[in-house]
Amino acid sequence: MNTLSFPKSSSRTKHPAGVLFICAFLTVVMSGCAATTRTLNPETEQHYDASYDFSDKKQIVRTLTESLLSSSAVQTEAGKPVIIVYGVDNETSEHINTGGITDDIRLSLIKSGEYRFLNRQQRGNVQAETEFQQAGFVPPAQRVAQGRQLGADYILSGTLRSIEKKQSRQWRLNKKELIYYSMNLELTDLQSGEISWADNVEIAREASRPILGW
Amino acid sequence: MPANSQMFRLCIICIAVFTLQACATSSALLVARDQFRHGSATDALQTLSEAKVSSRDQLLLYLDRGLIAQASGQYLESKIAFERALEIIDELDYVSVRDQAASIISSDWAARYSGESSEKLWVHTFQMLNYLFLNSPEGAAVEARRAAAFYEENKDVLKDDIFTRTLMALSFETAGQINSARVEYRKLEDDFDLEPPAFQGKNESEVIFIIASGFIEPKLAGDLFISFDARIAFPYYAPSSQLSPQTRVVIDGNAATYSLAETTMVSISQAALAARGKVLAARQALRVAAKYHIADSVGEKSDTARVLAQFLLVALEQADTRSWETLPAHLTLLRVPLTPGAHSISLDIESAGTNTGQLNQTRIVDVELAPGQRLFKLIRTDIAAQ
Repeated sequence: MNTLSFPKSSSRTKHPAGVLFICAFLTVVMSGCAATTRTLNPETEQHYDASYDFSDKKQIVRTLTESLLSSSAVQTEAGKPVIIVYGVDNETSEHINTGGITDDIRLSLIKSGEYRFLNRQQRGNVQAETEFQQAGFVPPAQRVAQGRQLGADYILSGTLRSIEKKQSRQWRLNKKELIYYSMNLELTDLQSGEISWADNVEIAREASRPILGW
Repeated sequence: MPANSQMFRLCIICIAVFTLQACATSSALLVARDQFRHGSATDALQTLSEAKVSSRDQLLLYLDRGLIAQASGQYLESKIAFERALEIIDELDYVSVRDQAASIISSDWAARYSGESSEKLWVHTFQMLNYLFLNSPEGAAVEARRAAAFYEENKDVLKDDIFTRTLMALSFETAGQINSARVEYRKLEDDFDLEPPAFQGKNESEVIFIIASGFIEPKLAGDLFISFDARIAFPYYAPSSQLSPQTRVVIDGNAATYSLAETTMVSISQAALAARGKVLAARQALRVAAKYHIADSVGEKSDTARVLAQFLLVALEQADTRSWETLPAHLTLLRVPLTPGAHSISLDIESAGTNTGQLNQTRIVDVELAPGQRLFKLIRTDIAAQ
């Protein structure tokens, strides 16, 4: 009588646990290797290291805009002050495009409806377009009138600085780094040369990373 | 005995693998360096762009690529390559268990090259130049600040690099960061009694010549036999045999006055390597002990195996002579004050050439300067004029 037999039945009973372990191991390995993408909320603070990032920019823009809007120091006789942006000098150890800071501050102030801005970056193009219109290519009724541009009341400028300190060389398991950012912004009255408003934002952060690794 | 034999074979295979994978700079780098040395920057860049370089030599790839691109006037490409080099330096700024283990069993060649402190500073030096050539003084000031921070950490070794320190001050000055410039000029005055220059007036102009001449001496391998089965191999730099370039500046037919800041690169590299001496010696001692133990274990039951293992392990001991070999032998910064307007500048440079011995060159540079303009010009004496 032929019977179906499994010669190594004991090894069969061990397989599920082994297979399970291998599957779990592979899952962990594969999930580590997989490329992932996720959308972040820009309002949520995110830092991967101590260096400047978008969360810092958000904080700088929010604080300085609120400070300027709540200040009564900036006034003109003829309504909304007209501002021209001269940019923020980067005096940090990082290649930071500070144009992003002034663009966002300008946007917030325009949205507040309390300030008007001149477009310094487009001055050349505005001039070229005006000259083109005045050259006779555009009917006289449609030409922009010359000598009607706004004059600035204030210059908006500032400086972003940083101070970095690294832990001195010694026997340790982690290397610590301390970064301090200071962003100063000021409004200068073109008439008097006086600084009508100024404020700053300070950010200090410590990061550490292991000295020993694979 | 079968187990012993198996162990023996395993050891031989391991040693052979290590021997094969280590002890040589990636061939593409050697080819590119040779092309560059013979004046063909374009061919060298082409070679590097197609190169498959070992992960151990990735830093050297980007250092060479950045410097060759700069010498051939491709400043943006050079900036990108040096940015990657700085990322690699940052990534390797830890003690790697893998690298340490590999270098203790075989040689320092098995570890990923992370650069001498002098080379790490010079990445910022050449980045400052890239930003200045790209007319981005603010970017140059950022690199100057990074260089200043690195210099402060390693000033015992890097103190004599007058070129980089002057360039740091000049980068700050060009970016309008006068206070930072003053600090750097004052440090130079304290260390070398160099009088700080008067800051440029609004109606004064200036041409800054950066002269890179010759090629830095490569690291050489030194040997020290302790016994027939124990050898220590160490890298060292030979003293510079290339004389500093002698320069004469003639503007519109008249001999001109200028100020000069110069660094002999190999002297800084020597100091940087010497500063690593204790670490190198400690690793050498560990390696000698480890190899002795391996040979002893392999030869427990077979004298032939022991001798063979000893022979292979001693042969495997090679000094890690990797370095940034496309660097110039001398870097010179020449500040030539000029009145605004058009000028014809003639530069007579007498330097020690790489292959041809003494090298005399005359470069004619025509410039038109606006009031207050500061113009930067790079001259690599061994490369055809850009």
